[in-house]
Amino acid sequence: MQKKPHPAYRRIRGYGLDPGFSTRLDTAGINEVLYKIPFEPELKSGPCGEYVEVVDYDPASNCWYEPVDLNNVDVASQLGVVASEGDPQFHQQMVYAVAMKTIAHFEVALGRKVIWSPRHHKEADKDHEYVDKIRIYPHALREANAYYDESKKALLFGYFQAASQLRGTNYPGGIVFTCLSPDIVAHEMTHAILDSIHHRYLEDTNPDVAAFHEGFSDIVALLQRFTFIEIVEHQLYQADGRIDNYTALGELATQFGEALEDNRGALRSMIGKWNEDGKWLPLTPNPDDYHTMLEPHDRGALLVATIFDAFQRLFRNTTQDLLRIASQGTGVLPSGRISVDLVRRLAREAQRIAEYLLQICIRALDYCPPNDITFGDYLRALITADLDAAAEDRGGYRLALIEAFRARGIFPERLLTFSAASLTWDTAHFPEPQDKVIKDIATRLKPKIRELRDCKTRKELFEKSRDLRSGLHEELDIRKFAGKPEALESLLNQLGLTSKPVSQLFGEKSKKLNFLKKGAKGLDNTQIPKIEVHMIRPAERVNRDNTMIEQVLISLTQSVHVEIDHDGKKQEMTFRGGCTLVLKAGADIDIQYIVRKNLKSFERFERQRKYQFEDPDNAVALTSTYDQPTSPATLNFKHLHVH
Amino acid sequence: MGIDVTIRMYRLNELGDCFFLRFVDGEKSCNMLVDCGSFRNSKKSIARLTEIVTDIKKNLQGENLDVVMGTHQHNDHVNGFYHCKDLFQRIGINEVWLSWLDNPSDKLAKSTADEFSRLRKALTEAMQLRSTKLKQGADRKAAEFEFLEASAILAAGSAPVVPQDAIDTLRKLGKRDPQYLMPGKTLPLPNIDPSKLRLHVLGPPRNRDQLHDVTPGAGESYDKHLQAASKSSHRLLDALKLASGNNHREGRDYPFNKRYKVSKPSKQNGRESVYTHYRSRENAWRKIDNDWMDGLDSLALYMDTYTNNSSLAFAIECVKSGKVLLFPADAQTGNWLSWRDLKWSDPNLKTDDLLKRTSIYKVGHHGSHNATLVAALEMMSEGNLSALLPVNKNDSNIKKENGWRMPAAKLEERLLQKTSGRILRHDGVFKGDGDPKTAKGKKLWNKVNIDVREEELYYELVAENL
Repeated sequence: MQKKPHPAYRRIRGYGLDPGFSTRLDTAGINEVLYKIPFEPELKSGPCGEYVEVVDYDPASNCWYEPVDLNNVDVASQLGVVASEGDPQFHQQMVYAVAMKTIAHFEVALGRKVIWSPRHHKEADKDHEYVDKIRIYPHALREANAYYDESKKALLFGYFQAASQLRGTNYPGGIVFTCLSPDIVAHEMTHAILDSIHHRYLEDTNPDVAAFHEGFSDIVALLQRFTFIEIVEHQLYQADGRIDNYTALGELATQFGEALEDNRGALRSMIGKWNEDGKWLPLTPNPDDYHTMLEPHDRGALLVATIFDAFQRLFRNTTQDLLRIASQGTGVLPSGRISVDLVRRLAREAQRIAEYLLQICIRALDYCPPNDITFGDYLRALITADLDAAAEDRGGYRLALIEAFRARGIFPERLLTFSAASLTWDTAHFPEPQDKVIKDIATRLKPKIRELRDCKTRKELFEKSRDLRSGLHEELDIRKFAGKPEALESLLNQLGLTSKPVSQLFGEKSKKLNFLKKGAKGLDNTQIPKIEVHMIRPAERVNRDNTMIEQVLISLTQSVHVEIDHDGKKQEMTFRGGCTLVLKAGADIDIQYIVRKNLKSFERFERQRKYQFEDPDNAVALTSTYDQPTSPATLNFKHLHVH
Repeated sequence: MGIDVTIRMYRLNELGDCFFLRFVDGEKSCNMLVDCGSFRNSKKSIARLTEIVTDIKKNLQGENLDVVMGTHQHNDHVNGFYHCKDLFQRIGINEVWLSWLDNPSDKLAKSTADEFSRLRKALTEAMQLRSTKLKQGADRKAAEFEFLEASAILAAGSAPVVPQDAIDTLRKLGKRDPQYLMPGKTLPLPNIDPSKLRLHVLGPPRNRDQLHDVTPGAGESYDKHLQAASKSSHRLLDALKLASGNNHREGRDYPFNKRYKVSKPSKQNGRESVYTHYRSRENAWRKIDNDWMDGLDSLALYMDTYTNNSSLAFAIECVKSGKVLLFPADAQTGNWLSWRDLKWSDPNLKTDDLLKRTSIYKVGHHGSHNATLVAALEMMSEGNLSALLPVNKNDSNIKKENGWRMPAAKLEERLLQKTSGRILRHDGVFKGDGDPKTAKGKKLWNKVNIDVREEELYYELVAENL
């Protein structure tokens, strides 16, 4: 008998905004929305699916909550458990829905499966162990906090009692559950997904890195908010005659910042604010912003505001004609309620723009360097990724992004002009004999790369990709390289890597440095840094213009460990370099772009050293006025998030 | 004639503030003490405090202390009044000046103090429960963080309320009833002609939101953060009591009605129970049994910042020369920001003006990064400024790896520029050329008409005719 196909989607109830909006007369009707998420046939109670497992243990209350079974007929027929703050099963369903919606956005944009960042064991033989599911603990903490715990591969959400005066939509003295806020859940989930793509972004090597993790997670959560058409429609309808000055969506974004206030406050004043008369005013960007805002939350908020600015520019640009049609050509709407049809059309535009922009923002991740990211790099990645996705920039997405970044003084380094063409990463050109080396390697690896596309499960993909990574690792090993060593060295140099001992890394300048052996005590200036192949993944993406594109993504890094004399103490600094390769996977496999962080750049080395050792006031994990318990080189989400 | 000013910065071996100020106006004089405290309550700390107070007594040559100010309830500012109570009694204190927050008959102060003491009590108990519990658990190392308030509470052991007791002691040490100072008030100093010398009270702010939060929501008069923190600490305490086997009934329905709570979820069809899954050995690395207890640390930090921000901050203005001595205690951003909104009874006086004329700056909160408002420091007159920085880098909390960053590197760098190197530290370390033992250093100080003398116990600054 033929197996019946499963439905494509599962629909479950959940909140579109924070639960407080369900108790307000004007928003109660729209706050409960239906999440449309990929249908998981094997979903167990928990919910426990392929990507995430919800484990509802509440250690502070020393109890468990029975897991929800979304496949149970009584539950499924009602589109899930009825929304209620007082029912833990609804909480489980809610985190699952938001987590899966977020993952689905990434998989569509990236054109490949999300595979979690592997577990890093202490025992060397088990290093890089496959992690199949992210754990979600909806009631793990008794505080106004929620975070992604990288070492546990888990999201921990807290709950707390609100203060007893009225504030926003809170019930005074009531319990606030962070796992019920779609914004917070999407934000934390994005941290985990970003970590699975760029694990080295946990290393605080310049002032943008921590800010990027925070800002990017907010961008995803914010744009996801605009994909709920009911909410956008409602917001526009409420806005009445203010639609033509385009503040309605800014208000929604500002509410987003306020929803996260207990967790982190920087965003709430970054996009705009309400004045004393209750009128919302957008914040005007300042071209000095990028240079004056150094605290990671402010800087992260700056990135969010930049993307949101692009969103607003796009919305205005796309809807001007609609407003003119609705206002007999004047563009100025009469006062009073506006037509429901117009609201629907406008909301649909906002939703469409948010979806595209979210896709562009996510896809750009594959065009970002493997470590040490700056906002300027991200802008170049956005533009390049979108150029691949839409040869013609219909709708002006790239221009809107460029304008928004420029308005805040975010410019990439070493760029002479500021246009879409110059912002695109350079396409790769390999002269002989490098070209031959590459072609040979590509020929040998091609069949295996093809195999990756046929993998049935994520685990199989992980394992095959791991074998392939070690294959490429061998190919690039100077000791095993059959051709001329100079040919390999010049190729590696183009990739930001080297096959020479560390003593030659920065030419003459290396002589003053002491290089440490990794994992062992003692110095070794003759070692050749190991080339790490982090990722080899094929991607099949649907473009903005509905064409398909097949690509392969590879990331390569090397690291050196340098002894730094600081404050009379000897400390270790890890400096990494390498590249992300974007390959076109047609009949031949061609390198399209090399997104590079050169290991041999002494300038970059010095910049990182100064940032990490001479500028301690910039340290990220600033948990206390005095105390700094974690190493300044690693981000700690727990501390970044604490109020 | 102006006023002759002598300042002794007593040198502690750890975090601590103790400043003796003497103002002389011809035949008349005023002896003033600002704080007397050392971070720990150890024998060594008490011995040093005793040495200091003995020296104060000797230096007074039988005169009384005219004014003693206790800036806020932290050991490193006030525990000397507790430990050296008898000595102070023998010295004799005429007046005690405290912040309005210490005024027991001020309603606003009282409700704040009550909320705060509820927080402190719950947190102290919770911290103790945690440390007992963690010692029992074999799989978890002891508490990783050592916060000022938390560690002080625990280290003190039997004396968890020293700072509070110290203020109570101080209240009774004065011959007259204590004066509680309100921001925006200008006061004369005892015995001194008010047209020559006056003290302006800058903080703590009367507006509660500014005590901790700098951007409060609209229409809130009550400090929501303090209340929320207090609530959180009680909920954590409940949880810790539960974890310690205390079968109390409180919080049974928190966060969910008790009918939802199960000790072990039932077996689900076709799948091992989530309980077994969570407890299994191969999944042990993902357990979260104790993570929630870290919530105590952020509350302890909150409490610590809150107290710092409750600092009595003031400026002493020498009218003739216009020079200002700025003593912000440990005030943090919120406190500093509130000074701008003050309206002074002297219509010609502006807060910014006091900052611009500051010539001696007692660096806020031992030079931590958020206790000197950048805009304020930038206003202080370059070339004229000298700084007293109560920091001893040998304090183990500063010295240890990733220890407290005091002084904050960037702040110290800027201070060095602003003062041309005239910075005195408890540990006698000079980053610039300001060491008064050297000819170069002496010249630097003389340039601003200050004589500096270094003793093992203190630095003494003398400035005449201010």
